[in-house]
Amino acid sequence: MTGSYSSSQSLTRERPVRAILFACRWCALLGADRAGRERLDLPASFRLIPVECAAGIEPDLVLRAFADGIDGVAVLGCHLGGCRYNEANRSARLRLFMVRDLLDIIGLDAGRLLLSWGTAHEGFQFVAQVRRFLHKLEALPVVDPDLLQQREKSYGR
Amino acid sequence: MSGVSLAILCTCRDTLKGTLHWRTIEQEIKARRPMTHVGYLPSLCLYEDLDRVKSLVEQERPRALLIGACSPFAKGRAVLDKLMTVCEASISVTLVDLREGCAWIHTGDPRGASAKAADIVCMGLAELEHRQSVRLERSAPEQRVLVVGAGPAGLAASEILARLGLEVVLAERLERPGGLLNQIGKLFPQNVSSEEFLGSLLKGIDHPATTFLPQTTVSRIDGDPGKFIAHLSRSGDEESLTVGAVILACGALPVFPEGLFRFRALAGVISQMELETKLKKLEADRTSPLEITSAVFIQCVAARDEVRPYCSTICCPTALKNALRLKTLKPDLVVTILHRGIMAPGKALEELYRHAMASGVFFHLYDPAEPPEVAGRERAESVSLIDALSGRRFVFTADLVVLSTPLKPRPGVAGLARDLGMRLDPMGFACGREPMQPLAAPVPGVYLCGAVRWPVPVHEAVDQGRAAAVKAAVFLNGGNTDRKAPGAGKAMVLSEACGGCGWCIAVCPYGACRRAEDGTSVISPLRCQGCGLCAAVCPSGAARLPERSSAALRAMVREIAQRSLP
Repeated sequence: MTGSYSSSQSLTRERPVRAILFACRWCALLGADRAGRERLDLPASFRLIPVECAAGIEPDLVLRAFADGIDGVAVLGCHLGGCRYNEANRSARLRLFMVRDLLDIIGLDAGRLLLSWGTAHEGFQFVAQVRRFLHKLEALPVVDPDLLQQREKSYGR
Repeated sequence: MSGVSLAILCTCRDTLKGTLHWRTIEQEIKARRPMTHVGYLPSLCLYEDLDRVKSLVEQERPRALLIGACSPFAKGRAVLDKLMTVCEASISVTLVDLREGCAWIHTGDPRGASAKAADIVCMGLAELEHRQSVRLERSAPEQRVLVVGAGPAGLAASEILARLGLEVVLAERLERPGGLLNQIGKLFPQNVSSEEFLGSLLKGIDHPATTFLPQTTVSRIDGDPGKFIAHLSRSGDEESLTVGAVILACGALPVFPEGLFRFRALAGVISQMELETKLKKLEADRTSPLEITSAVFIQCVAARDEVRPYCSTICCPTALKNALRLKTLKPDLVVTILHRGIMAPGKALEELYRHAMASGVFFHLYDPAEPPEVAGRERAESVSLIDALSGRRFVFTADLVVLSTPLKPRPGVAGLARDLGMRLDPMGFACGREPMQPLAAPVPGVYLCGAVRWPVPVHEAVDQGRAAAVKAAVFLNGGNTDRKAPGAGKAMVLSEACGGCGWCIAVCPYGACRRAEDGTSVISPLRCQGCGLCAAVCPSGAARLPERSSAALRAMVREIAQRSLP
């Protein structure tokens, strides 16, 4: 649920979506590369950051991205049981599930953090995954860093 | 050296200009990072452009060099590798993908694509600003290999290692070498005598450089690749040994079908392993007659079920082999094999199967939902089954019922696998780096072969042992020490910031994080594979990947958030 955050926001979009994709270089990055080679068309509103392993993504990094006004973060790792680093993606998954819970608590839609394991290995899968995610983000209001800050102050720390 | 960064963008023979507006991109880069020089070259993948890069670098003397070209999986990686050889080591170099990752997927939106390209370049520059490198100090590896387990795989590995001039320590849990070979009489598919085969393998370890340690178990292995410390225990005595590499060849255990098909309840119901021992005795002493008239084999007992959902691969050929051995001992014996599909792949095994059929062995398919039933009072008398193909009920007289059971992983492997940073599959077999390097564990200097990976026929175990030995020898020769992708970093811990909570030690898949004497964590760069798990869980930010720290990732994210172009 978007909670009080969405109610205080107008639903008109004053800027395009800003999305970050963290792609595991053993899996989703291959899908991204494949999509490029096949020249599959995608909206230009996402930025891809290749990472060695999805496990290297700190919860802090994700939360700060939202605080900076990023609308959505996707973590695309390898399939569970097929991690290059033994079982590292499983622990990444557990950790990032907690971040999703946190997003719900602070009133940002948990769907803004996409976790996907082994579903972007092929070009067409990557493209479908990204299109769906961007489409979802377009339906949500923009993340306004100032508003998040105001809300943080209003908790009266 | 100046604080200038150099961004060299490959225009891919001017094919990208329809989507990427180079001038807009350059303006945006300059606006955000005024200290950046932007240069263009038409085709970095050709050698003449590399020379131009070299002269540009010499002219600008940059602190950091960014290459904007195609995907690393296209030509990017090769370009980067070439550049690393031309540039000084003090310049940090990175590659960003502007073709597959931008121009080619946003052809319909040149404005968006150009903004994205500028972002990608700025993200790369931001990353370079935060890059530090770790120097790897590597000492010469110990020219000694520990082979765990003296089964066919371990023996074959030891032979090759000794022939390659390496010192070998072969640790065996039991008194005699040979492993399961000692319990088998003949080997499929060529029906070679296992004693002869074992004899030839044993000749291989009769070498001055090879030490065979019987009744020795490996309780723990720590240390780093090139200098592993193996703790061996031999009848209560503890001993530690420094070895350069470890070959895990400790095999698997046969399953006994307790409580299934009236095993141990009726005389004459035995497991395939027991039949092997029996046949070995009978074949050695041909005077004692085989006092049975009919034998029934039941395949896939305690295998391919919920507990062990795997095919043990060796039981079908073993059953074919033993059915033929029974037929040889007593040609009028009625032998029936009840199976769930005979697994006999390959030329030799297919021939074995055909040979068994031609020799009059009967085959019936059964459905695991309606398994055969063994009947009898004190002895096994008959086996009834519903044939899965015809649906008809058959009752076979059976003086001997042989239950084909799979091999299961040794429970002790789990401890060693944890020490060596190796993954176990859900069944408990050890995993290498499938599919490309199945005999090598993720940690360099650790290899595995034989049934510790998965049940294998003896000749394949031998092949794997030899292959693992060659890999270990290459590793100890200084080649292939680090199979990690170039450019990806190793983790380290800032001991001043470390609170000693031990989270990194708990999560590290490779046993690379350890506790130092002062309670803080240290990371062994030789074991580390750079996944970044330790950095992600570290509450104080002490554990980090210096080449791509969280600060670098953070700077990249900020770069995206603060962009001015749409």
